[in-house]
Amino acid sequence: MTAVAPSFDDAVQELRNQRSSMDVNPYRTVELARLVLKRGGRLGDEVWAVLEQSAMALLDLGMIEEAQKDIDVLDRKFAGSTRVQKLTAMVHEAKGEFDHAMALYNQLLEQRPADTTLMKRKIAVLKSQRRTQDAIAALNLLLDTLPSDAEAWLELADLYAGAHMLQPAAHAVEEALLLLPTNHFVHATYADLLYALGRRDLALKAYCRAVELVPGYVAGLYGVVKCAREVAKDAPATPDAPPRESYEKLAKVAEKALLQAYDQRAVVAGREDSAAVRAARAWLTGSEM
Amino acid sequence: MAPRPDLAVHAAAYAAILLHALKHVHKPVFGVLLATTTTGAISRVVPVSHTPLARTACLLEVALEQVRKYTAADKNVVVAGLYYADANAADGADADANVVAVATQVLESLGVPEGVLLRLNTTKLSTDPYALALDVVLPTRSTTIRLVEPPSTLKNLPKVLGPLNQGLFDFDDHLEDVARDWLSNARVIAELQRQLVA
Repeated sequence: MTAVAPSFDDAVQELRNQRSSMDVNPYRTVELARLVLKRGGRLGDEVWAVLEQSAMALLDLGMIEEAQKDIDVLDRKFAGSTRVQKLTAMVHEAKGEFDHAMALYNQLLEQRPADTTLMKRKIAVLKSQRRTQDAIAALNLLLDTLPSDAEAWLELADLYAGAHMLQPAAHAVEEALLLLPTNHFVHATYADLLYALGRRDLALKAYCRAVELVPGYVAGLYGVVKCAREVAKDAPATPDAPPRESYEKLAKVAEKALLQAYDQRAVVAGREDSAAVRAARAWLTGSEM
Repeated sequence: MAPRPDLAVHAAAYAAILLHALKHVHKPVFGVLLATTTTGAISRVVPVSHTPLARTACLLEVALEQVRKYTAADKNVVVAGLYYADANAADGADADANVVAVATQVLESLGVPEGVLLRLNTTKLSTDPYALALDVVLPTRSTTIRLVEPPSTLKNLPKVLGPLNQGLFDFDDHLEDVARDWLSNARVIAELQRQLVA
């Protein structure tokens, strides 16, 4: 929680960072945009990008009327432009007018058939309409033209996973892995799916790879501990598989690394007796709180 | 057979569910409901995740095991069940069967096979912005739910939701920074109680 409002320049920079980031907090965007747009004259041409950013965030929060105000300003300046029409379609989406939104996206795609952001918005509408199979089909179509879009592969994996189609989900994540072989998050995502598929031994390997890539990776370490504990219970799975002791040792190594992470981070933040830290320590040491 | 009693939920717990969903717009959220042992009313929540349930089997199990340890150590609360919100909590569609299936398994693993599953349904807010926007999915859809405090308490919701939005953490947030206390979220819950019931 920010107690002090950021300076104009800091706000402008943070908005720029948000424009190139995938995971954005719309509350923050709206807060920053309001601050910055009060002195819109100082932004020069950047004001249009900020207005667009603000409109999208407001739509995310369901603040449709306010978003429409921003869009009206953009429409006066760039009447009929595809970007403004895309925002109009997003307003339809926010209002639940999915058929309108879809019609507009289809129309815009006729003018710009290779525009992947338009295709992705179409897929977003299909998801909102719970048309999961159609969304999956549309995403597969997009990936046929653009197989190097890792984000789209991960999105596809999410859709499959949500429909409990875990094997196709795993295949989709494998494609993302080919594109991003050193991305620890993708390895962890793969690991989670393997775990859900009952392949805890393979899940363990994938979590280990994630932790190799980023040694302090907490989610990865948790995955190693959990999987190693589970596999140790059933070990050995095949005659040439490692014995139970190796898995137990691996679990201990990862437990120790996590305990250190808690010591370093939580203690530094003055939270060492928080419920979360106590529960984590209890879980890692096999004791009670 | 005696009529099934209402479920009762405290305003602060309901507000916490809303906060969790609002913090992660366009993402499904999921968490645990805690009830006080004295009244059985749902008084607190433990937010767990903002990633699709089907994709987080392993880490979900870790989180739930820690929730079990936490509730075992606190004599004042018991696990009452679970709450969730779809990525689009306003779409008015029926509860997703896959989510219900996972939730049922989770309730068993938490030792409350008869536990409740609440679903945030913000379509109710379009007709009445101060309605209790929760559907009961388990144990049965006809189980009713009511607010412990008077309904007028919810009129204070808009003023608390924005500012407190960033202070609530779930297990996913905790994995990014282990200093975040996802289990008690004590400060946020206390502030919600203070501002709503004032």
